[in-house]
Amino acid sequence: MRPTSVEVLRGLQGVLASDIGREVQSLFGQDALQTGQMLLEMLANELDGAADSLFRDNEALVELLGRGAAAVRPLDAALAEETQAALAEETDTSLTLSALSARNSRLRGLLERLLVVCEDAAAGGKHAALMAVRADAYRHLRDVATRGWSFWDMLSFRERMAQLRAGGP
Amino acid sequence: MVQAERIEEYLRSRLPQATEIAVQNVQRLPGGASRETWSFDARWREGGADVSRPFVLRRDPDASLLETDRDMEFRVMEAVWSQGVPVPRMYWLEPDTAWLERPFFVMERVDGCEVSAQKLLYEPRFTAVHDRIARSFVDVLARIHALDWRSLGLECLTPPADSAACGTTEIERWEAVVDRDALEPQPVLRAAFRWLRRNLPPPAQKIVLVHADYRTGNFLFDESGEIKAFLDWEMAHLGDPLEDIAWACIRPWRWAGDERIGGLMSREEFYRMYAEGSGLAVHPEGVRFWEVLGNVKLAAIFLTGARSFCDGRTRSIMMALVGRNINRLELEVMELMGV
Repeated sequence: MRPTSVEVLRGLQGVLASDIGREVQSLFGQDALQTGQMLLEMLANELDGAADSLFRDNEALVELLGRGAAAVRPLDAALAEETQAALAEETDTSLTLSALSARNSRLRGLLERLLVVCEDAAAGGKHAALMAVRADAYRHLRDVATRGWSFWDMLSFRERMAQLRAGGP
Repeated sequence: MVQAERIEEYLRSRLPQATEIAVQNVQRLPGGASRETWSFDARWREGGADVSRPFVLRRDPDASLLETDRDMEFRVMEAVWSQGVPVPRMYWLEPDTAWLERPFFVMERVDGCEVSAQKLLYEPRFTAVHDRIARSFVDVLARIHALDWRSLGLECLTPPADSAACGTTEIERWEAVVDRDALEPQPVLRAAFRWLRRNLPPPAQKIVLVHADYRTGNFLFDESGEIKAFLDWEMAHLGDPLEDIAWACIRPWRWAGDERIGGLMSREEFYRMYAEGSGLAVHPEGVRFWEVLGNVKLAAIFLTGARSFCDGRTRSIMMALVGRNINRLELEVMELMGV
């Protein structure tokens, strides 16, 4: 369907930056407008790949937690059992963002507990299998954390806003 | 909304000798995420003379990034102002909600200044004074850390049990915030708390007044390169001076997109100038601990904002924005942890 969701968000950014932006005089209003622009920038960058990203994350987490459950068993048998039970659960195959997010949250909750055990074990320099999972877990978390647009990417945002004010796409 | 008439009534109660009180130009200012910030001008007659004064009023928010003690912030700013630290002069602290619906305090407005880090770093009119501002930034910090907080009556900030406890005290403070406000699992933050407990810093060289939000973007400056006032004291507490050093160093406050601290100076320059000005050593390993904690703390603050947005306690879209910006802090935490 055209305009696509991303095209609509970009259009909204354009009108906020030009027509509406010119009408807003107060410093507070301008600041709120800029914050809104940043949120739209973030959503526009996320939207198209959001479901795909969550789906792949969930697959990666299932693989990671599968290995993690085995590696953590000597240190925390209860967590190992719980993780294996969670991985064996029948999952919703829906690709809606809400279903994918719910699954993601469940898996990240298990990863959170696994990482805490890893960190407590890290000082001893033992448990090689668990340390390998720890390294892979951080690799995964780094990968997730680098995605998307963040308001720390101020330079790219400034360029886009200048473009929009000049009437660009 | 804060109305001029209500402020006039309030000023009448606070300035019994004044007559013909008039308040104008009431406007909300951006920034100051823990409290609403309002600016206004007041005129009155007193002792046969016309008096005109610019004010800032900071009112408790409906919800905020931080839940902080307004009375403490007022007392700290009052105390450091009395010692010549550049902060706005504090006038009145008002807990009564009858005036403006929520408690507030009133302080001096310092005119003719900028606060924006972007303006400081990107507008050519300030380029020539970057070095001067950097020097001033370090000097003011050394002065704050040199203050005798006991003689200023700031024991009420509750010092850590001893100089070795500063790190643990702050870990517990921010872990409690994550416990309270996280809406979803936070593997990186939880792992970081464990890492922090395993990598505690050396005992603080001395327990000082820590500003706790000392960074580019939190001070008023002008084209002369002078820092006119340091703002946002709501997180001030007693602790390790390296906590302020590290907070100023964390990546989100570098602004310029490179490694310069606060966008203004190299890390080596910062450490050297601070050591010269304060007489305290800057231990890189200690700073590393506090930098990990600083990023975790900022993430925890963002979680508080996200929760207040999702719970419907605020309409501020800033809270939504910060809540969705924790990922880059996680990246920085992992980088600093070396994992």
